[in-house]
Amino acid sequence: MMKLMHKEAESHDTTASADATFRVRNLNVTARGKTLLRDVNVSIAPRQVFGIIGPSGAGKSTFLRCLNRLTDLTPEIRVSGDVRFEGTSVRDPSVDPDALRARIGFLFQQPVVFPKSIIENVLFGVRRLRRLSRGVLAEVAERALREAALWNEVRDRLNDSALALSVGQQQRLCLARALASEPEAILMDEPTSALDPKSTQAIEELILKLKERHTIVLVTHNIGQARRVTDWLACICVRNGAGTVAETACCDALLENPQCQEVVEYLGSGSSLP
Amino acid sequence: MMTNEDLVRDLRLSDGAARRPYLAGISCTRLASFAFTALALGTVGALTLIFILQSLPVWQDEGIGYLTGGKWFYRVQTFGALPMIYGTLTVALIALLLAAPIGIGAAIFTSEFLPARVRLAVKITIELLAGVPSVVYGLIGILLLRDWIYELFARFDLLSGDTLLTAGVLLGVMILPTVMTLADDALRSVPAEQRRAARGLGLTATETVLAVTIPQAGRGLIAALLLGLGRALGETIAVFLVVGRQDNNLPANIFSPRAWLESGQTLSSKLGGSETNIAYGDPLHWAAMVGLALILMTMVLAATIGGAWQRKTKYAPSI
Repeated sequence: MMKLMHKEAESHDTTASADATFRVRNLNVTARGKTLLRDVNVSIAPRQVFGIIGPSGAGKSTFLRCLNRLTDLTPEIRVSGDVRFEGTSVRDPSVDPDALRARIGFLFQQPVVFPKSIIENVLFGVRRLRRLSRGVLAEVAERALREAALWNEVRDRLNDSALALSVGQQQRLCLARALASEPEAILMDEPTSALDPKSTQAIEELILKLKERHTIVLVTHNIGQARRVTDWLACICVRNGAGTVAETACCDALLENPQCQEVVEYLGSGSSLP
Repeated sequence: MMTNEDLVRDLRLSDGAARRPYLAGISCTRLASFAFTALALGTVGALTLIFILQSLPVWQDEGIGYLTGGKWFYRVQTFGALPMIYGTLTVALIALLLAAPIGIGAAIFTSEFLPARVRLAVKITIELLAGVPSVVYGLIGILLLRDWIYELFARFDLLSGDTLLTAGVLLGVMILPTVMTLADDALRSVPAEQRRAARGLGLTATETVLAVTIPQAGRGLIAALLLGLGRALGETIAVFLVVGRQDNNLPANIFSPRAWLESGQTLSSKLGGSETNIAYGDPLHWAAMVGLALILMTMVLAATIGGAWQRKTKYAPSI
C-alpha cells in the first residue's frame, strides 16, 4: 500500500514538475519541537485548481502558508525543504517575502475586511504596492470587483463601509482585494466554510472562472466542493504524528478510487460529505 | 450523605429564592454592588460640592477675574489663578510632547515587533517604573535634570535650573510608563487577523503598522495620551521640587517656548506649598486656595473622562 502511494505521488511529479507553479520538495515544518508536516512533496501545475483535503489538524493550512511564507509571521514555526514558486525557491535569500506575497493572493477562512469603505478595501494592497494614478486605481477597482462578481452589487455604494456587506459579499470583497494586485496564484484556506450555500456557490463559480488565468490552491473540508471545482487533489493525513501527503491524484481518481488506507478512511468517515 | 440525585434535585429546588437572597424582588448582590457604586460616585460628588461651596467667596469677590487674573497677592486680597493654570497646562503639554512620541513609539515596538514572551517582560519592567514614588522622581530631578537643563540652555541666561521645562521633562518621564503600557494595550487590541490579512496582501511590517494597526488603534492611543495627561496635570511633589514655585509669572506671549525656561507655579505646586496652611484662617484666602483645587480637579476629570470615553466607545468605521 505504501509503495503504491509513493508511486502515485512520483508519477504525478514527473509529469507536472517541469513548468509547475509550485514545486514542493521534502517540506518539513516544526513548531516548538513538534513536527507539523513531514516530507511533503507536491507539484502544482499552472492554471488549474489544486485541492487539498484531509482531516482537521493534519496541517493543510500550515502547508498553504508555507507556499507564500505566511508562516514567517509565526516566529516559532521552522520550515525546511525546498518550496519553489515559478522555479525560484521562496526561501532564497534574494527573495523578498513581502514581494512574494504580493504575487500570491491569499483568502482566509473568515473574510477579513478592513474597517474602511468598499473601494478602500479593494485598493488596500495595490495602492501601496504600486504607484498608480487616481484614474488607473478606479479602473483597477472596477476590474477586480467585476472579476470577483461583486461589481453589480456594490457599484452604487463604493464609499459605504465594507462592514455593512454580508459575510458572503465580504469574502468576495477579500477576493477582489487580492485580485486587484493581479496575483499569479491564489491560495484559499477553506474560503467557504463560513458562508451560506448561495455564497458558497458564487465562490465556487468564481474559482472555476479564475483558473483560466490563475493557479489556485484550495484547502477544503467539503468533498462535494472538491469534486465540483478541483482538477488535482492531495490528501494530507497524519502519519506517525505529523501531517504528510498520503496521496496525490487527479480529482476523480482520488475520490472514486483512493489507493491509500488513510484516504479511504477519511473519505469513508462521511462527516465531510456535501 | 448526599447522592447525586439528591444534589441534582437540591439544585433544581434551590434555583431561585432559596439560594439567592432577594429583597423586594431585587437580587441582594445587585443591590449591594449598586450601593458601593453609589458610595464611590457620591464621594466624588460630595467632594465637588464641598469644593464649590468652600470656594464661593472667591468667585463672589473676583468673579471671572479669578480665572483670568494674572496677579495673586494674598496680603492685599488679590487672587488671579491664570499664571498657575498656565503653569499647569504648560508643564503637562511639555510632558505630553515628550511622552507621546517616545511612549507610542515604544508601544509599537513592544506590541508589533517583540515576541510575546519578551514583550511581557519589557511591559512589566516599564510598568514597575510607574510604581516608583513621585518624590523619588523629584529627587532625581533635583540631582540630574536641574543642572542638565541649566547647562544645556546656558546661553539663554537662565536664573536657575528650576524651570517649567525641567518640571515638564520630569513629568514626561513620569507619565511615560502610563502612556506606553496603555498604548501597547490599544495596539494589541487590533485583531491579529487584520495584520495577517495586510501581510497576506504583500504589505511590509511597517506598512501594516501604519495602514492597519495605528489607524485602528487610534482611539485607544488618544485615550492613552489623555490618561497620561490626567496624571501629569495632577502630579504634585515631583513638580513641586523642580518648578521653582515662582508666583505671578505669566509671560507676555503664552505660546512662546522662551517662557518655559523660567520658573513658574502650577496649581498643584501652589496647593502643596505652605500657603495652604496660612490661608486656613482667612475665609477669602482659603476660598481662593480651594478654588485652585476645584480648577485642578475639573481639568484632571476632563482628561480622565475623555480618555475613558475614548477607550470605551467602540471603533466606528471611517468612511
